Amino acid sequence: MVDVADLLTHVLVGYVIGMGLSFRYAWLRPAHVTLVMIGAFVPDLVKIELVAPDGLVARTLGVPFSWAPLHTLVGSLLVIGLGTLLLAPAHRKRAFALLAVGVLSHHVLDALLLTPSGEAYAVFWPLSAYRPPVGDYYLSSDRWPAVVAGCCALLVWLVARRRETDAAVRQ
Amino acid sequence: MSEPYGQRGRALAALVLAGLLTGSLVVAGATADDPLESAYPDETDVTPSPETYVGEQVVLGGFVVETDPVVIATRASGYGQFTLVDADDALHNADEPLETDDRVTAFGTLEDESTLAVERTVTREQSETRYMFVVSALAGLWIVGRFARHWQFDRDAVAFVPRARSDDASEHGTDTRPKRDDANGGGRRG
Repeated sequence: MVDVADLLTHVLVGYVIGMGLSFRYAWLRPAHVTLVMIGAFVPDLVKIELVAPDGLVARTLGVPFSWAPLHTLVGSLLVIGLGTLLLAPAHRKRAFALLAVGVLSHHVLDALLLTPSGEAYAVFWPLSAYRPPVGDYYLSSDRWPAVVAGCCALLVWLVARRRETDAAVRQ
Repeated sequence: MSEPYGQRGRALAALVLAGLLTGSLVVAGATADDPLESAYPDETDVTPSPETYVGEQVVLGGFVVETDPVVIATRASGYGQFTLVDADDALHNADEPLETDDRVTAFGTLEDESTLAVERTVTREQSETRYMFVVSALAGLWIVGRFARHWQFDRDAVAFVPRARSDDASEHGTDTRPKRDDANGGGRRG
């Protein structure tokens, strides 16, 4: 199992990106920001394996099994595709795009992790077994990424409040 | 907007996606090259029969039992000892040399049955499972809470739609946007 940044960092980064986009695009509401956050969470569905290990599922179903594809680009896109179908048709295109932004941020963040071999996981599996070189920035057990992401989240939240007050004053 | 291909089309699309996803989980289970594992043999492969990996690049994780030269044991029992050549120089995330009991993962070429010529070493704290669990649970609750607050289930469309605008105006300035929202918020009209 490859190391991954903790879930909170991913979700905070999703929040920051979503809020940032909402400053830029007027149609983007808090409901949409939530979608970016969900997208940033999706690849970590692979942690189901802590509850239902690959071997256990394989024995139960009688077929070979691994949760690992959930943490690849293709697997995450299939998951958000399914998720998008839960939403009303009018929202699907944008929802998929926003979920995909979240998914992408997750994989980029995980590619910055420090790994012993200097290579990340096979993010493009099954299209390619290529393991991109890692950014060497932090370990999954480091806490400072969560702190930095938390500060950024606080900042965009303050900016959002400020914009809200300004808009209220103008009215 | 109504369901473009009807509820059947939607169910079919879901079935196809779920099929592809399940298929990929099975295929991944059947292939030796797990996408999340390192492409190199690790200590669980190497420790039982190091002689078969001599000359190959491997990743060995363990704890330091000697420091000059650095020797690690890959098993908690102290079994599976490997001498790491140049481990301190190749250390990537600490300035001080390794000390006894440090947990390290080293990548390099296995020179003989018990010597690894190190290219990269990473040292790490004992993984703090409880911290990871608590913050991850917090993150999960945050997402669930936000989704419940901003989305609602529309029984006619059998789908989730954003809630009416009143309760999300509290988060940031949304005052300039009602027209656009009407244009794409038509999940109910289907």
